[in-house]
Amino acid sequence: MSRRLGTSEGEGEGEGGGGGARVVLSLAGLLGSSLLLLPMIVLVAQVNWSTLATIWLASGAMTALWTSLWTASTALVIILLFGTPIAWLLARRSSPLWRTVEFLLLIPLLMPPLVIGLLLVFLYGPYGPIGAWLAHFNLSATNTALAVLIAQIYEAAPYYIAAAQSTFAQMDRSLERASLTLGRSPGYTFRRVALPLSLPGLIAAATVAFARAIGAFGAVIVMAYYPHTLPVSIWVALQEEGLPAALPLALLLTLVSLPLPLLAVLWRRWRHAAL
Amino acid sequence: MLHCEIRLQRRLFTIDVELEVKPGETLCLFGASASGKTSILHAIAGLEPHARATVAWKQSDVHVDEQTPTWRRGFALVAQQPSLFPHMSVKDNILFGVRDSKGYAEALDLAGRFGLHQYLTSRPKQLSGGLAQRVNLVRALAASPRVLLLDEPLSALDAASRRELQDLLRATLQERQLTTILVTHQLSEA
Repeated sequence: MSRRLGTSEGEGEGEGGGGGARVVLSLAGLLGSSLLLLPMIVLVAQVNWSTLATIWLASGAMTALWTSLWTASTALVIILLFGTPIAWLLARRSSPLWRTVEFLLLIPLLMPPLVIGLLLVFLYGPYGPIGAWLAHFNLSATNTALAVLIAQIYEAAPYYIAAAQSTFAQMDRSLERASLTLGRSPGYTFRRVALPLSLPGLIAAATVAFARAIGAFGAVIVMAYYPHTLPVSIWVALQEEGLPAALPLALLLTLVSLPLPLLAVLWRRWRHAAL
Repeated sequence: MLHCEIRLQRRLFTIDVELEVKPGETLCLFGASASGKTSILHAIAGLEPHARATVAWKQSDVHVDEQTPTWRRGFALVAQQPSLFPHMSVKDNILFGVRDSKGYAEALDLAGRFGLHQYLTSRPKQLSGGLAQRVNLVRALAASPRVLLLDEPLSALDAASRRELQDLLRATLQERQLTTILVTHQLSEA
């Protein structure tokens, strides 16, 4: 009896404390979210809207935008092609080899982009092993679009692989097993079951990778100052003309990099509700 | 005669099982929960990574061992919880393992017999547990398996649905002369 009363009192206290904790937690969450959104508000508030079009058209921003767009799109295609099987294997294989690969892949994910750029120069630069090999085909991975592409892939791929792996790992394995026991091959099972069910997560992962690729700066500026990508243009504008000249370009980069991930999140929510 | 030899390796013990089923008959593995019944079915289906299972048909050249991948075995498994593909309609679920036009017609006939005609365009999440298990059973039967593996397929259903589905299943298995291994811990189901 006394034990039950004691438990009940304890629960009552816990609920009261829980309510207070919830309010504090909600306030902390709202404050944190506001702080995260604040830079966006500043960007919109500080940009001079009347001169926006002039700066976009006059400062070579369109050329940089085009370079960023096509290199990031190409990087994304390459990341999807080799990143999806890697993510699948990481999610499905539990051998020591794949667990080691999974652990090692954290290194490029955590490595500062500038450091990635420096290491890429050693590999892909004119005196690096791959760079020297590329030279046989009259290709250069320094100050070329190819260099931009390589830097973007290295910066963005770990984000895609990590998110895609998590998506595959979350999938209900019993569905794949059902497909196999119904006589369908692993390839067919992947196409008809795993891929459609993982698609929202994969698309979200791909759009995040695209945003990372198009916004890549650290590795890109080491590998390729030219041709200017949009992030490099922002940096150059900041260095040469100051913040007012850089902000319109920053807004342009935000406008091209954010809509895809945001739409992917909305689509994922809609599809989750539909299934 | 279907002859299965299964060795389940566990950390502390090993289970050796030998089963024989006559063609078209149903063999029932009856036992308490957690006694390894499901693992035996999974080993036969090739879903148990630490098991060695050989399945052979006497007087036939069909032979399955641990090297044979699940999808080449032809053993359809119906689990206690229906694992329907949520992104497909009931019809697409039922036709998933069907490979030819004859099988297509048979699958739709089976769906009708199991009372699923009006649900063919529904999504799995719109179905009750009983209906979902019917779809699960029809999907497995429609794939024309060599052997049907049933893992307590009716235990999650209410008494009335269970009785009805049991009768339907028994009649279908007899009619098709389908070799079946049933796992259950309920004597009534056995």
